[in-house]
Amino acid sequence: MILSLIIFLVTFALIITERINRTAASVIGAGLMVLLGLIPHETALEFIDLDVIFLLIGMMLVVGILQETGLFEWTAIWIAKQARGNPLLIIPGVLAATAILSAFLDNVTTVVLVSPICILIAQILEISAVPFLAFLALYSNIGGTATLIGDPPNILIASKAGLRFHSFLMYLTPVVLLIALVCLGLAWLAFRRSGQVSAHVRQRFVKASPELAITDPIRLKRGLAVFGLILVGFTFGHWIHVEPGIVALTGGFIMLAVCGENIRTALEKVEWEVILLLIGLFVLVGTLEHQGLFELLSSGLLDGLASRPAMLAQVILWGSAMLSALFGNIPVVIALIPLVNTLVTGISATHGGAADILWWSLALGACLGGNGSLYGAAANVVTSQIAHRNGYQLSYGNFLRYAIPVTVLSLLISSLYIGLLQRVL
Amino acid sequence: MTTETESSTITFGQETILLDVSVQDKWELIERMVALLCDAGLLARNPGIDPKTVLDAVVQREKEMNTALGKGVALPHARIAGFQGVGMAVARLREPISYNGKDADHQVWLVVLLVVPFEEPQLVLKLMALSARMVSDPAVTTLFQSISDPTLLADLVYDRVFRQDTVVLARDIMRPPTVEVRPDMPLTEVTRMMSEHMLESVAVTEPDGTLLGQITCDNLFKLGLPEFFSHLRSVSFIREFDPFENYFKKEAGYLARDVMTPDAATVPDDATLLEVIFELAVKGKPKVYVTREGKRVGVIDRSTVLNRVINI
Repeated sequence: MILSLIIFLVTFALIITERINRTAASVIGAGLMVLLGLIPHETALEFIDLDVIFLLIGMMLVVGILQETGLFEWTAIWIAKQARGNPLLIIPGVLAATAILSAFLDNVTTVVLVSPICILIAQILEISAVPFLAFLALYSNIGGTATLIGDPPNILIASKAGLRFHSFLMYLTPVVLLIALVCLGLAWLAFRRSGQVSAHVRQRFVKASPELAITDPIRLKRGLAVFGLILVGFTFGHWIHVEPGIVALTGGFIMLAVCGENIRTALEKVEWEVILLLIGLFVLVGTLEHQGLFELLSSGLLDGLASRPAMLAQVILWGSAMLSALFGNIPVVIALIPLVNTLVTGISATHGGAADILWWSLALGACLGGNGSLYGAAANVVTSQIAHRNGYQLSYGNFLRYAIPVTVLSLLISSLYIGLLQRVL
Repeated sequence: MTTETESSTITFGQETILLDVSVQDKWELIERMVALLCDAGLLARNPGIDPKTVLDAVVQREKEMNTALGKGVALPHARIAGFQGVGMAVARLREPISYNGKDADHQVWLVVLLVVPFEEPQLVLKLMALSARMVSDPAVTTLFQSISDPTLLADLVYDRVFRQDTVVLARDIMRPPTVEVRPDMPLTEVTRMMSEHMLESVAVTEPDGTLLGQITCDNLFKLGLPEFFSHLRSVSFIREFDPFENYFKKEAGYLARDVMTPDAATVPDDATLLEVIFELAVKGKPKVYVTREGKRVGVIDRSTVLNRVINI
């Protein structure tokens, strides 16, 4: 077990510091685990969660097709036009739209798609794009928390815990909506001075033609129709024992066929680097699980907190949030899932269904904790890079200015919500 | 002299050489050189072709494409359908003439005129390549300037062009650089030159010709337009926003070195035609710079290949 732990920790350090490419580090680390016989080959393959992999590939295909239609540009410009060029309406509107998009699309994809249009809006409004971009990243992470497919941590948790799409809608969406609404107040405070733009500037949006943003209406209609079917599949698939991964992958390829997309071009848009990073992490953490590390750790935690599950849920919420802010939420969630799984098994004997609350704590902690630093979530880093390439400095400190109040507030709300859930369930 | 070769009859010798001739312009020179070729027996094997057909073909080609190679040399030529043999005439001018009427770089003092069969493009390419190679050799051009005996000159040319078997190399088809851009040149000056010469890209070189990089229109547009525009599907939805005044302001303070990129495609001057076309067609480079010992000596772009290889 010591050797496995050393390989895991070194690989984990390489992934979070990015001293070498994080995907390469992950795959090499996983390969070492198998090569050194720390985990049997077949067992290692069993730890690779194909439902997660299929879900991510399927959704990446879907986004790749929809983004070419101009849907995201249309959404933002339509909001700006409805707001008649008023920044204090445009910015909350675009942030709310981002959260909704992010609930159904990968967060990184969301910020890549929406950041350019946000910068354009900021330049047209003649205001700084920095706070807008910071809030964009924060809202993509908040929105992603709402559904099973919105953020990789949720996909990972759902797959391991056997949680359904509708369970996320029932237990996470309401609290995420509340968090998003409350944090709009913080956004308003950040932008309140940007509200003073001239009538001439506002006219630029009044005279905008959002319909011209739709570059391929036929593909958009077909794509949205298939996307609707995919959502139906997510919601009701479990009735016929079809997991979200199969729904997404099949749906993605149906969309590809229906929209006449070139398969080679579509597959190029899949982020294979992320897929391989996850495969490596599955094997790395799987090796530790195979060797019984998590049982050991959880027995220690259970000894102290078994009789106080409310405290355990708060420890998971705040602990996963802090770890995610420090190390990034994807690797943290993959590492914590076996531990939480053992804890859930341990306390379910005495607390029944209420044990699932630990999964919601982990989901809220990891997804919202990702907002706690620039490196906490991939969407934050990507937004910062986009800002930099366009001459805006969304530095670590600059990001924290907006991120800390949002993270603390959203975790406080989550903490209260988890406490409430424990009373109700 | 009319010489039998394996595949053709060559009309070339001291009787098709004009030394220290004076002419008003290139059209007069071409007319005299074609007449010289016809008098030397160019049409002996071509009873169906008259001198006017030959002259019209050379003039037509010259109007389509200026055949000046740079460094004072021009290579007018024509491919004539059904023509048998090869004709070559050489003229050394007493006073250089302006070959394209306006550009001082195109003052020409040495002209090699070729008439070849339309049906043998490879032969044409080879002869033009060898002729170009011959006149680009400084030792040979020095000899050309000093020789006073047409027989010696004829032997020299014959040896260099008709006794060589060669593959076409980059240096045979390259064009001399049109403009010189140094790294400390203001960008406004560079863009003016690019606009004036209608260039999509220019090489940035040290005074000794060392190639440092290139500036392309893409570089300039990207400098002007922020990066995020490249991620938008369209911008037609915004009708009243013209940000370019602000965007292009920054161009004013830039030097060539600030904008150039080191990704200029290069080939050595002895690269084969296949290598050059591979760079242009397979790798999709719009232009390759021809280098000798790291120094830029010429340039080949797609139009060069069209004019000097495909549409020869």
